[in-house]
Amino acid sequence: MTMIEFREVSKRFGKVEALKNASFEIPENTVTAFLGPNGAGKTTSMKLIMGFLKPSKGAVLVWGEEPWRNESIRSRIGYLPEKPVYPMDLTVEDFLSHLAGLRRLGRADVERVSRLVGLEKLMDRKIRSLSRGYLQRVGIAQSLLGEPELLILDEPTANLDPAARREILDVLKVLHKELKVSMIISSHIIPELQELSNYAIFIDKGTVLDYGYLNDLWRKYSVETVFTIEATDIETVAKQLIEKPFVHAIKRVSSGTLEVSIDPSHFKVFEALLTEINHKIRRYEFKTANLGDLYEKIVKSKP
Amino acid sequence: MKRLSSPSLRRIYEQTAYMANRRMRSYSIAVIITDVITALFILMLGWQAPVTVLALLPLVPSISIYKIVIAAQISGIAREIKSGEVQLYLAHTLTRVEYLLSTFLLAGITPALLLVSTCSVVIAIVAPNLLYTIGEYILYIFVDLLIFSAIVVLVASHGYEGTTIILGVFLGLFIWIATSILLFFYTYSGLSYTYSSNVSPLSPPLLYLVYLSFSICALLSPFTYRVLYIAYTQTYKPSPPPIPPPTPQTIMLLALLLTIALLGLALREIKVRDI
Ligand SMILES: Nc1ncnc2c1ncn2[C@@H]1O[C@H](COP(=O)(O)OP(=O)(O)OP(=O)(O)O)[C@@H](O)[C@H]1O
Ligand SMILES: [Mg+2]
Repeated sequence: MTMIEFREVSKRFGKVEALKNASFEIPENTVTAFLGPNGAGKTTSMKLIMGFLKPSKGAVLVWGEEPWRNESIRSRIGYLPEKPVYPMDLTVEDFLSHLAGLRRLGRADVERVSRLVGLEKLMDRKIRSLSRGYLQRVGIAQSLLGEPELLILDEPTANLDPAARREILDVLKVLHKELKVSMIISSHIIPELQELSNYAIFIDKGTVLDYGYLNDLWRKYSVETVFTIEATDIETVAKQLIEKPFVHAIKRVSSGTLEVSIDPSHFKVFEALLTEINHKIRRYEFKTANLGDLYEKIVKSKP
Repeated sequence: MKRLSSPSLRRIYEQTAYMANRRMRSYSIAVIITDVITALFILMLGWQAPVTVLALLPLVPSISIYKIVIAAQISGIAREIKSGEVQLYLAHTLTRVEYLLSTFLLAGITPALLLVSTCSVVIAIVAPNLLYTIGEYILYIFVDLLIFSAIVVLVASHGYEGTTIILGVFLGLFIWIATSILLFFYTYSGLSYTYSSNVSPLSPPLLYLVYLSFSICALLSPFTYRVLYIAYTQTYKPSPPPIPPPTPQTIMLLALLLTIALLGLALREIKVRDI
């Protein structure tokens, strides 16, 4: 089922054309990485999905309806703006309680989301007094209110320290795995997006370069999938693997470790093979099909 | 599937109460200042005023102060749109229309009610004899503040924060002066200025222009007009103007209609604008 559809959407701000004839689809139950350089039009697209902006041309459809006309769609979405502006004079608690109140939620929901993002000790603090990282957590907390079906997060891990970033990513992972929450996430930190997402949209200067499931995109742009394998007898393992047609290259990283690149479409087959010979293998790890590589290939292929 | 989404009163209430909590301080200050001013003026002028006009005069500065407070509060719409704060509320099911109505309720209607009630109390304490005389005029004060709020809401809904405040201060401070001067001109338009010269009285095109100007000013400030109208009827006019000025009742009704129209325009703007 299509969750979001852009049909030849253009958006102008005076002389700037932030989106030019952008068309793409996002299916249900996806975590979408929204990738593109600064000024590409990511934030603009997200605001169009929220119905805060009206397309200059074309149509934006969210669950089949135009969000700027049908405002009730927003009740199913959680949104973290890129540069949220908070009422600085309020306490975290008063602010979140008000937003919860608008959604007919109560104290328990406010407590739940603040615990999820690690804000529970700061509920009495004025928003003004929070550090940037904690401000960002307030933003994420509010986006989670009301158990939305879709989360739109515009650079969610900006301003967070590595530990906090880890925590938030884990929360998001759980939300997707256990509650089947779909997400659209923009970020410039590609590895963390790769960890979460199964779908991607690439955009540059207002033009959509490509989009689709990552599994299809790896193949389409022949991005290598790399495994690290640790074994006692790496020679035998290497010999056995190199025979397979979908194994492209084997590199010895250290005395007990191999790096094996395979055709990404044979991911499952290769894993099955590894289980088969698991008595020879100490440990293996899926390293990457690198989203960064994919990004570069896509950007280069469309001059 | 198209739904006509009627605004939810519950959400409007939630948002209004939320804003009220945050802005309580500026209202408290406005209330205290106006009450003190009203009390002082009544003690100085109005207390044993022989003419109703004098009894009502003390309310004029209070209304001006309230208008400035209202404009400052309503300009918050423009500010919150520009800063993006409004997105956080809209992301939590508040609709654009509900947001505008909440602000109008809090910043426009609440001060009107506050002014009317606190002034009544002050008058009742300081000069109870005036309460009866002034009763009728309270409705005019209410409409006066209402149409003023609708004007500034319309400007604010277009995102002009500075203009909202400047226009608000300007209207708040000067509209009653403009109305007074124009009506004065009109009242004496039938007279030539000097007996000896052959300067003629105001001739039709100019006469209509003055009539139109003070009517517009009157619409923008029905209370001022109500007070001036007493003066008009009570003064001696050697040669009254050919068309009598509109009655204050007419003006009040037109002002109410205009308020609704302006509010409608503001709602239409907020529905389609980029936020
Ligand atoms: N309100 C606005 N008024 C004028 N120009 C705008 C406005 N919003 C966005 N733009 C312009 O539209 C283009 C796309 O901006 P957008 O914020 O969508 O980019 P982005 O992909 O989110 O970039 P970043 O990675 O820096 O956040 C930019 O050139 C930007 O300057
Ligand atoms: Mg952005």
